[in-house]
Amino acid sequence: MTTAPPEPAQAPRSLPRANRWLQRLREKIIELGLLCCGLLSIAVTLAIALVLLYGSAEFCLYKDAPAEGVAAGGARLERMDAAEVGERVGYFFTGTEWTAGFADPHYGILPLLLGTLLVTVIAALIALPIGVTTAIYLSEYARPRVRAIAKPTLELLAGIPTVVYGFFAVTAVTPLLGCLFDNALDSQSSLVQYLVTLGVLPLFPGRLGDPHNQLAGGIVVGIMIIPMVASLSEDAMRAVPRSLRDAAVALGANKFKTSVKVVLPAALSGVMASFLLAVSRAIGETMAVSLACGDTARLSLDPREGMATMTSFIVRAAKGDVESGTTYFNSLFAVAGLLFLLTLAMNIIAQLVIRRYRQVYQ
Amino acid sequence: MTRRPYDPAASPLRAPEPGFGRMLARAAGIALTAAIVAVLLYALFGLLASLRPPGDVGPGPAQAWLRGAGRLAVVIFVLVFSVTLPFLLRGWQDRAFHVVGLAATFFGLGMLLLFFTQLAADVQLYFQVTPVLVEQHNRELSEQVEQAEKTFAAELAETRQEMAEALAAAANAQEKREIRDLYEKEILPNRVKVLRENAAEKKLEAEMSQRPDTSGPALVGHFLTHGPSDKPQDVGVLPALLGSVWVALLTVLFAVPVGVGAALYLEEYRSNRWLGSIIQVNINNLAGIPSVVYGILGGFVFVELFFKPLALQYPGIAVRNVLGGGLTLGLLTLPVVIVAAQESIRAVPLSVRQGAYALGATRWQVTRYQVLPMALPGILTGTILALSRAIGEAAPLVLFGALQFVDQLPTPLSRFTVLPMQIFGWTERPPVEVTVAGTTHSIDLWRSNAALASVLLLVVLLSLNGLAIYLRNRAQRQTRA
Repeated sequence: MTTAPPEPAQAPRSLPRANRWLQRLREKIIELGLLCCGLLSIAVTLAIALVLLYGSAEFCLYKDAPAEGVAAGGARLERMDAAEVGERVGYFFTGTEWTAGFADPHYGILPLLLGTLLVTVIAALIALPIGVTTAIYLSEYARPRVRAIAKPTLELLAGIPTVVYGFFAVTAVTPLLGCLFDNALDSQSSLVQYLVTLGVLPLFPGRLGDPHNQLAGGIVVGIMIIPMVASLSEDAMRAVPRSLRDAAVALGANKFKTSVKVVLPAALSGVMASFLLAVSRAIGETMAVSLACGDTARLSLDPREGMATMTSFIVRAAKGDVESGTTYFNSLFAVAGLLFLLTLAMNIIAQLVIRRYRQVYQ
Repeated sequence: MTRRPYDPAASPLRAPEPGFGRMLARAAGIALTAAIVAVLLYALFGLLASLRPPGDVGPGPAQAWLRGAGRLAVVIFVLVFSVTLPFLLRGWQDRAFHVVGLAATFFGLGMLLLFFTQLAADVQLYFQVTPVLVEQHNRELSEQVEQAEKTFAAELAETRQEMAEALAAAANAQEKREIRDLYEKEILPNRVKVLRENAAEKKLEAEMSQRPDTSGPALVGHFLTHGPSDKPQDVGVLPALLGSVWVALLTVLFAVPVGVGAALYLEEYRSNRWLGSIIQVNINNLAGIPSVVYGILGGFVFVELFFKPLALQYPGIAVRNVLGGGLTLGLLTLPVVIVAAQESIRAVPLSVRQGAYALGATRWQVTRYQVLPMALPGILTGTILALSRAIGEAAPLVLFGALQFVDQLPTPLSRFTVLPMQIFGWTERPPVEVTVAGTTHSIDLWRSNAALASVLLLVVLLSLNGLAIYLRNRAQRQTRA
């Protein structure tokens, strides 16, 4: 923040007293108005927390009333006793079955959590190495002309809407993966046949889950978050003082050693923060994931199958026009609340890390 | 302390490079070690595979798996090794990283080119299949018209036949005259009238829904000026396009004044240090909240608490309307606007403010007449970024409950759809069965529609982003000059 501006000078003496009073009032009103704009952002956070808390509490405390009662005009939900509440909350965190909206619903978050985790891990495996390599390259190696091309390229990647990424996952990535996994089994291509006879491909029996799979979702989300990792890490690396690099070069290190052994460790907290922010973005990613991964809740570790993630369940529940005031509808709030807490925690950690790193070099 | 960014070319110091012969010898040594490791790996897996319980005849699936795993390990080892080899040699490290870094930097662009190729193929499919289907439909309609005319003639002939039979069956001349009168004055004119109306209706319908022009521009024109349909060749994006424009406008109208106000408070006023830093931390966190969560907020606050009670009183108001959607996206884009505005306000030199204060200006006068005009280019850039985010965002609106099938053109208080939601809906649809010349094909025509809509969306967004980049660069040049 800039240093506090000096107090405004006294208004000219010629102004009448009432006029000066009016001016001071106007200043106060304007300041109050601007403060309200700032406070709105706090109100938004509070409103989000309250809405999610309210919905989650309803999910924990109420169950669906029997259909006959509802048909007779009774309330849709009825209170559960303490044991049932404990059972529902316990099952939510440890249950392995998520069948919200089915005839016999179970609300165990683990399948959704696992789906999200799988997408996030695949995305991170793609985005983190490529993003950090890009950042090192742009900050230490690239000539200005390459930078002038590379920066807009990254912004282009960041500017494509997520639903279009989802479209790409469905129309481009999934068929390509299908070529890799499925066609290999019955392909006539000599190269593929060679690989098959080499005995490599039998390691992956089975086919790609059609048309949804976690791999395609992870890949497009990874491509989506590369710009975030690259630009934040690059900022951190460019903030490393030049004296450190010069010292390394003076000791006989070449540019690669300087980058990897001096600049990267010096900027590590910034790089870590970019990882955290990018992973939190991957966790919250919605449209691309719900197009690519589908919405079948399934407990599996095979990335070739489509598994619902937390966000894609939320989308399905919203799309399906669920009646509000049912347990199915309330489960949406519970899932969203968990999502909110996860991403919020990662963001706060990232902020703390960034603050620490700023203290080191400023 | 201001710090100049590190410029690699400017560094005066260079590391000494080892001689070529020594490097070659080192490479050979490393390669030899790697070869030995690879052979050992392979042998280890082979040994494991040959261990077989007594009585087991022939290689089983476990042995095949182990042999496969061994070969895979060797392949991976060789691949990884050939990539890391240059990094093990001092003299090659920088050169190798130049290549690797360039590849990583443009990896995204490469993938994007691949995706765009697929997009182009899908769009091409649209221009191939749609004309065929439209012409087929045109032909069906013409056949219906012909059919109607044929029925017209046939029924008329039938009625005449009836009359002739009735006349033949009539007993005397009196009766014959009565029958003739009945037929010629009442039944025949009525029948003709009904049939003619029927045929005219068919013809009108055919003329209305026939699309004689199936050239490329005409198809695009149809796509841009029509609403949804249950036939994939007839759909258009007009309601979605206008919905996007409305929502984006309302978003900006809400987010920019509020966002700039908050940024001004944080940068220029911030009389309460504690409150200011809470707001600052909060904004940083808001920027990281997933967009679906904003959708839930909007769906609860605007729909359940505000517009639902309102719609009960005023039936003209849709519950999930454009205004609510715009406000939801406004909340979502608020952090984007605030951060961009803060950065550009911070870039205004302190001396400008001090000069204005020295002349006796009040804080608001300084802010309004000195700081704000100088920060305007940056604020504009932030506005455009917020606009493009609002246009591309679909998840909050799905949660908000925007529909996918909307045929009316949106007004601020009507139900609506937006372009990304339309793309989402079309991408999810299964392929359609198309019968052309007796053979049935399964074609992803809905996806082609989604591809065309994606191209439209991308053109809008990329030109907006390009504008933002251009404005920012110009502002940077001006500050430097």
